[in-house]
Amino acid sequence: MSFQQAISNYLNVTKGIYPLVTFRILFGLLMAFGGIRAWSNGWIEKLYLEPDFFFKFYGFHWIPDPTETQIYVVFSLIIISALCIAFGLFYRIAIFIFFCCFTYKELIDATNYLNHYYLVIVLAFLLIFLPAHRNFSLDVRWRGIAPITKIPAYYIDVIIAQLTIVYTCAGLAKLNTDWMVYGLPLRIWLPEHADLPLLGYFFKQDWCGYVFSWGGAIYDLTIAYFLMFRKTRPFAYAMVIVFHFLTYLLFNIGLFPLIMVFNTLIFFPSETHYKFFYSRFQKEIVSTQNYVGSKILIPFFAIFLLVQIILPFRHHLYSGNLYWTEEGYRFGWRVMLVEKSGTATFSITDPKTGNQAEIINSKYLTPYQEKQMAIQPDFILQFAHFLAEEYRLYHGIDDPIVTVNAHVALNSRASQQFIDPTIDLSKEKDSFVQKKWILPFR
Amino acid sequence: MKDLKKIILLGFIGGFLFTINACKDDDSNDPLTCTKGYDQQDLLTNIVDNIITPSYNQFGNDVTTLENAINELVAQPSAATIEATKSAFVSAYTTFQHTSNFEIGTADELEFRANFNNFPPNTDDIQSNIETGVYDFAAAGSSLDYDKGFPALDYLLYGHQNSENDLVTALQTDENLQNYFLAIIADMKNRITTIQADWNTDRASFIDNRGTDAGSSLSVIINALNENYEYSKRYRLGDPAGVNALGITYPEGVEAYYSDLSIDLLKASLEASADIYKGIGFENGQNKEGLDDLLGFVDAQKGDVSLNEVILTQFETAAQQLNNINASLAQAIENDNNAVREAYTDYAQQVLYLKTDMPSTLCISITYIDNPSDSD
Repeated sequence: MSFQQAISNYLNVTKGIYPLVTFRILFGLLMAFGGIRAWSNGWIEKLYLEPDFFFKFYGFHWIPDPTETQIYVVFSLIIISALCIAFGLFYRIAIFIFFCCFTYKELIDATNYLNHYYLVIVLAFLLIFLPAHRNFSLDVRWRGIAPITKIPAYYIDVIIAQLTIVYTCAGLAKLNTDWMVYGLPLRIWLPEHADLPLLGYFFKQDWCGYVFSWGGAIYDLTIAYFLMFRKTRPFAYAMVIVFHFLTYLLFNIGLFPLIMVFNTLIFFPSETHYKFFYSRFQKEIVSTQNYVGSKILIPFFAIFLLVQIILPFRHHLYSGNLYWTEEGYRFGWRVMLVEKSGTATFSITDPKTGNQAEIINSKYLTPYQEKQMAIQPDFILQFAHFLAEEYRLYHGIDDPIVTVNAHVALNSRASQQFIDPTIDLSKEKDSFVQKKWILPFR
Repeated sequence: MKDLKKIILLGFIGGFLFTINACKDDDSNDPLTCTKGYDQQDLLTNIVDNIITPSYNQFGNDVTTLENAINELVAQPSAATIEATKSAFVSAYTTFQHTSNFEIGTADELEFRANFNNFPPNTDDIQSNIETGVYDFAAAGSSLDYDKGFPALDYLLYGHQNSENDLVTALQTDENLQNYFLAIIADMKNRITTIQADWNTDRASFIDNRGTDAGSSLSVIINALNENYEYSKRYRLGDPAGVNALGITYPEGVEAYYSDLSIDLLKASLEASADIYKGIGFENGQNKEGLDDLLGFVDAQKGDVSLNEVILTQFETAAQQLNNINASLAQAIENDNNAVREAYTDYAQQVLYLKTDMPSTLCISITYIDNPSDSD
């Protein structure tokens, strides 16, 4: 069978819709819960209203900062649209609104970047194009939209492929010396949980860090493939639950464990979903219409997945230690990978008088922003530009020189100087070009 | 379908090799040195029983002495009672430089430093408080004001009146002023009494709370030490020396401006921080288990040198810088600000060692911040 034939055969394969329906329901419920959780924990206030200055992703400086009303409207829309997604009511509009609102809130302040928020954005984007509301939904029950039972396999496989990319890249990212040879940073993190009952005894042991490091890497690298095959699937799913429960115990990673435990159900075939869940509520509906996918989606999904495969590896375009420079670090599924802390003290010099002012970061940044900024060069540069503008506007210095004395400690080492302290950062432009002023890791 | 899976698989194997090749590293030693099974018991016991507890106790006694002196002063204003009060003030303020390192537990809840030592005092507020008689030092927002504690006493005893005779006269005639003295010392006394009582209750569980997580006692001690050191850096040195203000100095902003005790207090504060680090007992002066021993035990390195040596040297350098400042700190800021700025730079350098290097190499998790989010 030739490659073309294989492809064309594949495109005609159909799958039952139920994995996608389950995916939709759990995704919606979890996102609604996440929104309510952020609201009730006061995070909206802390993350979007307290800061005076927001950091942006490169190319997204135009994203407007929200007012108090606006950010609460955005979160209300997130919660409502997520519920609509779960119940399958006005699904197409709801998922689009959800995607826009969630993406917007993540673009407001880049210091809030988390891989699992990015995953939510990616999945929501894919869901916009998928008919996840065409069964077991209020759209079907109330709005008279015809239910369907079979959809082209690639409608489900695109999500499977995406999750496979996430796991595999997370695994590949772990294949570095600190993680595999020295068991870092887990050997730092695990003993902090020595108080846990039963497991605490093991977390205290130094070897445990190595076991977990290797276990984590092997899990991430292989789990998606074990989930793909019928024989290994039940065991693999049990591993999913155990692994993510452990990460829930050990780390402050919020909804991420649940997201993955729910998402990976999509690896199970439609019949299993029907048997375990939908059969209690409805008879297997025999579709009156044969759902034909939109052909344009095929190349679209292909390109999307290709980008997803390439993006995590863009760091090869930069020299230097990725975990130190973080150039090409984000959007690469590098989850809980390094322990980093740092300090960044900025100085403003008036070139005319030579007068200097050391900056008290907390005057402009929240503690969380300050912590994130100190270890990420593009944030350091953004803040330097902000300071230059501040001193131009409010202290009448025409051309302020902005330097930074920044030190970062990586994975239990003593700190090293991070940024060239002689460089006037106000003159440096952000771009995708390698940042020469990041000092190399020794 | 199977073919497609094979293609995906092949792609990832390719990617796998691509990555492996890229992560060669020339680190040949285990960077982690902290898990050599150090028993924190001796360290915590020494810091708690020989440093924190005696410091609190001494401070409690000092405040009581100051309270008695102020009672005497108010009852019988005279040159003698003023002298006695000033002497008690100096003792208590000096001991405060030690306890200022222990804003933990109840002291943290009661905002120990803010309530005892918001400086420079706002003399206008103090004046109007005395005139109106309307103020409440126990109120929730009181820690944000600059009208009480040591700085207010500093002003009232040394700066409020032109001479001791004037102060005697004022105290004889102005009942509001008498009450103000009494209210300040009552507030101090209340707070330290609560702090002492709670500390004596918490002491044992504090020693038992071993570990490296953010809530462990060692983490709390290191955090408190750092906070105070940064407080010295910023408020005792940086602000008055105009470090953050494009060279515009503010000599009146030093701690204890009116009594001119600034440099002595700063030296006492530095010595207190170094003593905690070295594990030197507050009363007995014995050098027992301290953070220096812990860093030595794990053999933490900064570059090619021992981090412990680096920190000890830095304490010495900072002490030398303070010795270089002649006469009063305020005068030095006006006449020889470079010396003060150099001291500031040395403090800043030590903050890096104590706040970034020490916790990292000891694998101690420090939460300076309440994380308003998840992590991943």
